Amino acid sequence: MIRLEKRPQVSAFMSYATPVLAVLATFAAGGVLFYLLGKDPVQSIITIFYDPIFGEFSFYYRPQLLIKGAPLILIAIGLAMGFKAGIWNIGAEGQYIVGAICGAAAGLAFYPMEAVWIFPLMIAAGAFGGWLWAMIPAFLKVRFGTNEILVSLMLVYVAEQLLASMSLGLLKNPEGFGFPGSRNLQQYASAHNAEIVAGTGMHWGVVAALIAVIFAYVLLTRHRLGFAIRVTGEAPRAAHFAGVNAARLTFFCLGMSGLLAGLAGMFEVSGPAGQISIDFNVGYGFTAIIVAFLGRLHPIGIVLAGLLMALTYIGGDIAQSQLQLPAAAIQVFQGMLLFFLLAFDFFTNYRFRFGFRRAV
Amino acid sequence: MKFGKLLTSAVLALGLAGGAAFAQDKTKVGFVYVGPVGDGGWTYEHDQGRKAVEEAFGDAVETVYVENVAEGPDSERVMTQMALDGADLIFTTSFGYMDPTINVAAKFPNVKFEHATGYKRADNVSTYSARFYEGRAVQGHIAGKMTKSNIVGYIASFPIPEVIRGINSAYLHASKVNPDVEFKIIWVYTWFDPAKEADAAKALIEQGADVVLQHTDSTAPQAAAAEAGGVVTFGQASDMAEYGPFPRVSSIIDNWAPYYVARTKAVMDGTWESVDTWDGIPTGMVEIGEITDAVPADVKEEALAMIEAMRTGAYHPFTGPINKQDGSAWLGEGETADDGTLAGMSFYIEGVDGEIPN
Amino acid sequence: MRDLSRRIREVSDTYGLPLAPERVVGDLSAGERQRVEIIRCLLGAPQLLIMDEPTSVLTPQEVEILFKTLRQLSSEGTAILYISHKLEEIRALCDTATILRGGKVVADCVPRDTSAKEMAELMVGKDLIVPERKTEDATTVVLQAKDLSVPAQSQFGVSLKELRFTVLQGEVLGIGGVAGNGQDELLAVLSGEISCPPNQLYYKDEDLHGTNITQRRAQGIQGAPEERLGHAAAPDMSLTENAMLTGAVRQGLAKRGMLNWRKARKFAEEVITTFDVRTPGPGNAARSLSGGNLQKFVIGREVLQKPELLIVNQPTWGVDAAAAASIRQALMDLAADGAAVIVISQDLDELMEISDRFAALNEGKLSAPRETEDLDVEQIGLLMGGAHGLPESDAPMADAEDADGSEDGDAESDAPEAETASAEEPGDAEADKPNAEVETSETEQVETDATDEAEAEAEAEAEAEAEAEAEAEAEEPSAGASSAQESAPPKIDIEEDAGEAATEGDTPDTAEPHSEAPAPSDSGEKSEEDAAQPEPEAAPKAKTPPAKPKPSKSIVINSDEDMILPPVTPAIGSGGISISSSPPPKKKPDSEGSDT
Repeated sequence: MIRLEKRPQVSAFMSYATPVLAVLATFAAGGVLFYLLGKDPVQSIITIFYDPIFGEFSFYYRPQLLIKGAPLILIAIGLAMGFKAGIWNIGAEGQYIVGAICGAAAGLAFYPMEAVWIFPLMIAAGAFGGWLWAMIPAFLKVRFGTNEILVSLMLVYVAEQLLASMSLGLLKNPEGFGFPGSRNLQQYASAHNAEIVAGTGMHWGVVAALIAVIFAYVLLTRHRLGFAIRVTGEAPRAAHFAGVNAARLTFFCLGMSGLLAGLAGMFEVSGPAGQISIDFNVGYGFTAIIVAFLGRLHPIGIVLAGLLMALTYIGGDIAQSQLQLPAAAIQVFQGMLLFFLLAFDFFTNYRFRFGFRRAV
Repeated sequence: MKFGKLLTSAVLALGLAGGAAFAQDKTKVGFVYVGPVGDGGWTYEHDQGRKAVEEAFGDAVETVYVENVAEGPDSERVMTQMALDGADLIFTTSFGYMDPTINVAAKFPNVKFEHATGYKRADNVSTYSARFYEGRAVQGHIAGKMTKSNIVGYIASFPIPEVIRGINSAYLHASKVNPDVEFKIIWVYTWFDPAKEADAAKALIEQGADVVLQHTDSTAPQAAAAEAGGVVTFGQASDMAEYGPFPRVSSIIDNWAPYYVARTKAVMDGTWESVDTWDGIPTGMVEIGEITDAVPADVKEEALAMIEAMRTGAYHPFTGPINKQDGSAWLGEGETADDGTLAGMSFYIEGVDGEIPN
Repeated sequence: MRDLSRRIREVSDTYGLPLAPERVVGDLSAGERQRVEIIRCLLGAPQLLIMDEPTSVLTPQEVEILFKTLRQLSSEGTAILYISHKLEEIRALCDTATILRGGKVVADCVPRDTSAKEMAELMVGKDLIVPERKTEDATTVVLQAKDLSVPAQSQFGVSLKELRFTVLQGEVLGIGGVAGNGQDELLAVLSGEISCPPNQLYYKDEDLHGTNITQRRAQGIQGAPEERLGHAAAPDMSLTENAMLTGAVRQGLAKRGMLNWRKARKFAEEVITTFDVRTPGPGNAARSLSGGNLQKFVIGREVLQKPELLIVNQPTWGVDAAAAASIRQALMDLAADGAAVIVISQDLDELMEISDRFAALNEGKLSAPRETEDLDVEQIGLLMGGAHGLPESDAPMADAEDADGSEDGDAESDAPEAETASAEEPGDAEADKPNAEVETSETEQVETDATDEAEAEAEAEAEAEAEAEAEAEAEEPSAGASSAQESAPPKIDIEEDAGEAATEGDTPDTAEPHSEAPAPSDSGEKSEEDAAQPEPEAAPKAKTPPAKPKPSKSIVINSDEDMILPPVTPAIGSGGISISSSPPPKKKPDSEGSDT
């Protein structure tokens, strides 16, 4: 007789071991999948996980890991703070979009003037845009008790419409032959979020992500506010008893996650993406939710999870083009990774017991 | 730009070393797709073109593709990766890949790029597009003849010149044969989203449209029309023959195969040059799918005649007199539109209701 | 399904338990849910029905209905094993009773012929050593409530109505009453968890209006809520983190927002050692501790912060005897050091033991505080709940015997429950017995037995009448019935008290709503009997032999004497109360005690 039993304490060993176990399990199950598709399983997994980091062209892919991972990490850090407190911002994608729009608009407003203060202004505008967009669900939740999950999610669609409208109207490149999309900020030096050191992938968004990680780490472990966040998530009544103001915490958590998502959007639009276009957003805001949980809502974990996600995307694309694996197989593979992580996660809190429970 | 040089030299090195094994015998051709190859529309037809290349050259070429590539930095990375892996020619098949294509091309001067539907070129970047508006003219004609409610629905993707051209062309030819015809346009802001497209189709049908044209790539509107019954549709980008003979009575097919084969051959021969190609019915880049028997015989005949006239160059769909929506003159009697105006077309012609959103 | 709902309707009609089968359980009141449980049992047409504290969540009216049902069942031949620590319920309902203490049978009796006092004595053991209190004549008012009124915070909350009391430096104010009568709200409003209206609550002459819990902590007001896990402590967080929870302000664990974990850990360790919290270390999660140890931690955490005003709710709820004793000692020491302490508890003995003054909370109203010395447990107990034992913890309720002091005591104390029935003021005696006299004689009347009798009679007239009579009548049939149905073998339905399930190991059953039947309420005769008993003991507490200070008591009562269960103990494991159906006699075993 096997049964599950809740552990009296979270197993420290398991919480470190599960990610490793999950990756190994994914290798195994993914290998079977690739084999069934007629591909060499070992080669496939090497292509996805090894080549981007150590392969022939890793000099190109390693910086790409940062470029792809930075927005994920930046957004996930913000989300994690809310998630820890039981405040569910599902609409980071919308805040990302609005941050990008505001950031780009602030820059384009001064085109073609060149000045050093333009980029900082764009950063501020991007952060503000994301923050503002997140304040809507925060306000509605505090004031009217609406569900922030629904409101923030719905606002993603509103933001997408806004993005389309901006690409076709206000921010449309006047020299773009009527095609949608703004001017390319990569060609506007003052507004370009260029790599700080060429070839490293280190743009300001990566720097911001690092700062955010450190900030979040300190906040969550050393600061009273972070403590309030954790207690609220663990036991809301105890938090209330400890003097935590739930409304203020809601504003802070949603605002902070919106702000960081807005920053991510701004750094993306002024750097790697270059322009506001109808399809500017590619789902970073949603993927970041996965990253946040994958990283166990812990800042360091999120860094690793963000890089891991970036790795599977980059490696997945390589596998597609080199091995002609279908995109869907790559997605299934990514899904497996998440599935196994969550499944093994269960065992940090539960364990198997063999034999019958003594009847008492 | 040091990095660019670094990459370049890496590629050169590859071309000399690793490339020796490959490149000399095999020409490597990469394709970057915006959707899944199974979309039954736009990406599907590009992939048909890829297969045609493989068929044409057999072992002399190797083709690779990556599907579902988001526009923006992801596409730039995928292109770079293809170039790093030794591709000689890369087709980037979505408008949104324009700037990334230019960026990557700058780093890999020895790799040829072909960007679909864009307007930016470089020494190693060609652009190509098809004159879908020629096909729209045929559709407009059939639609104008077949509508009983005089309401034609139009599922439009994005308000960009290509789509606006299609609307104008279809309306022009529909109103020529049916002055009472009215176009209802829904903008869905997507190229491929079956759910949204189906919703749009249903909405149009509810508003009385008995002909639905689409400038989106999925077959969802066809299914919606089939369900509603009595509604005429046309295949888009791909033949969508599975919905024939009714509601799908004809289609516009993007036939990229001849172009892809020709460009690949040019690379193999070393004759590749940066060009801007905009072909239509005459070269076969745009094909009109079979007009089914659901279309009255006389209408079908007129349509076939129009196609033939366009093939020979005897007829240009935008032939004056045509006024703009605001009533101002655009083309005088017998005047035909120049490619420059068409490429950047951002106005409706007279008679189309509504405004172009922005 | 349709068939089932028809049967439900039938059963509910038959037994006068109105219940619409199509309603959603979540929307039902606690009493109605209890009804669902009972009907579910009845659907099986049981021959033996076992109920464990079934009235813990019922209103008096609902208790009446339940009793009616039980009597009817009994008259129809169902044997009922009724487990309760509410003596008056047992007296009203049962034909025979077996009393358990510390898991052992200590006595059997016929409850109708036994006074509540007697049973209480059996239940707890006689001797209660009342610890000496240092009586210092403090005069500094620390906290003053002037008609403090706070609306209910939620649909199920209780609103506080015009509370009026003061707490002095060095004093322990005990607030008794049955759970759910505003205790949680009182703690919340005093500690600052919920805000108080202006001009109603003063701390050292400063209006507390507008200060939040953090500010109050800074001022020296600390609180310890009843619910340990989830309210006083975060279950999955370590003890260090839980120390930070309330200690950040006064212990200086945070500086400019930055937390000093090393200091917090030290503080947690200090709490652990000072209060003998059994745990491997401060890094362990709160939920890994036993109830008693966690409670020691929670109380210790507040006490060690040297508050000037400490408010605790149910400080020994579900805590083992030793832990309870040390917690009480800590509270008293704190008061001795000059702090004002408010102890809210259902455990009367506890209140008697440690409080200087006592008041009872009922339905959000507070009786006027009285000197505890002038009261005795019995009086308070009878007044409040009909001398029901409280949760297992230690309390010897019984010591009450010493009748003397009693009268006045009850007057106030029981205000709470009785109220419902009686028209009188909350403050005074509405209670059952004392009525007539009580009213007149508020405070100190020391009448002994005489009084009792008198009261008893009086009571009959008084409010309680109605109920009492009802019960009385009802009982009889049951008795008859019981004999009829000897057979009753197997089918056993067990009904567990809702409250219990949740708690962990040591639980007592907390809540008992009962305002219903005040003890002596049964018809006249009985009350007389009751009265009689106290008499002998007239002598003040002296008489109680010191034998067992022991805590836990559980009582098992068999209704229907005939129905004898096998001596086996079917043990229902919920929270430490084990039930044994006791076979017959074997009376007064002993009072052996595992003493404190």
